[in-house]
Amino acid sequence: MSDQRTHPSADAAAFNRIVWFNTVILALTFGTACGALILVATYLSIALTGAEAGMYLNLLGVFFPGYSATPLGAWAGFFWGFMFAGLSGGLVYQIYSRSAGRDWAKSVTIDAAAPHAPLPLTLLLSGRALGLAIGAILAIQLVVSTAWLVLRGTADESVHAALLSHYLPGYSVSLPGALIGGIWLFAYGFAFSFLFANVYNFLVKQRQAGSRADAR
Amino acid sequence: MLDPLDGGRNRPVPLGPNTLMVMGLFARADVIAAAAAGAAVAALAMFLATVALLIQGAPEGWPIGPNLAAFSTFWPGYSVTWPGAVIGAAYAALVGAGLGFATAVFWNFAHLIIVGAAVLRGEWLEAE
Repeated sequence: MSDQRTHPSADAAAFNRIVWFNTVILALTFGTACGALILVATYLSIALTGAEAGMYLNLLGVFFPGYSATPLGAWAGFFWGFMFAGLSGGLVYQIYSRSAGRDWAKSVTIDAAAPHAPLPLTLLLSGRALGLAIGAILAIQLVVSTAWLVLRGTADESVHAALLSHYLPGYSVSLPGALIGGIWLFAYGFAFSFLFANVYNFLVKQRQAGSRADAR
Repeated sequence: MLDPLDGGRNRPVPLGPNTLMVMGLFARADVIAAAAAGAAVAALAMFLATVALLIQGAPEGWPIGPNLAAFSTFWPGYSVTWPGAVIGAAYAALVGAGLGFATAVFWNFAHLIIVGAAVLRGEWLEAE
């Protein structure tokens, strides 16, 4: 089972290939989830509110050309949600995998209940790397979307975007405001991702400990 | 830190760093833990989002958080009030759990497919 003699360049090539594979997987996952959320939310909004459908959802049309709270617009929303979230998911994994480092032995545990399963290792998450990745992507998204509102000349009319200042003190629909908001959003993204990773790791370890106790 | 060479086996297996790295990158996500963590984080985020507006308040005669309250379209019973914060957290937990579950399942499924394909390819090359 030992592969201590593997050449370092082969090691790096394998690492890069698998990281890119996982990047595609996470991009597809995030893209599908976000696209489906927009699709379902639009159809639900139409079903539940009838003529008032899209009072808020229509704002997505500012960023997603062709989107509106209509049955056809919902599919445009699915497409754009898939594209944007897919790109974000891919970037998240790239930042995560590069900043988590290559010490993968620290980030896995063998599944005691099924040590010979096709995928016997259970993933543990690095809270720091996940926080960095998700926080950075959220901050970039805020800055880019605010810049878009400024560039298209609708910053003064963007009353809903301005409401973010309730959660992001100092934020405004302007480039300096976007940078301040981006710092806040990075902090929130980091904190919640760090919490997610630690809750996840804690539960994995608890479940593994339970499986080991059962196996004995 | 959990020892990946421990548990579930009678003796430690001398895996090299390269094998561990590859296995680590293909590691399986724990579906239950991902769903539970997603639920916990989404619930906390929604609770705090509601509470933040309640603490900030609104001018006399104005409603608090009318835009956030629009979530009641999808989540019956939700409002920007203290009981509403708890109700919103419960709904958000369901959404977070669903997203965590779906992400972990999709991740594992994709990896099973690629690992299965690699195993089949190896057996096919061996047979030749």
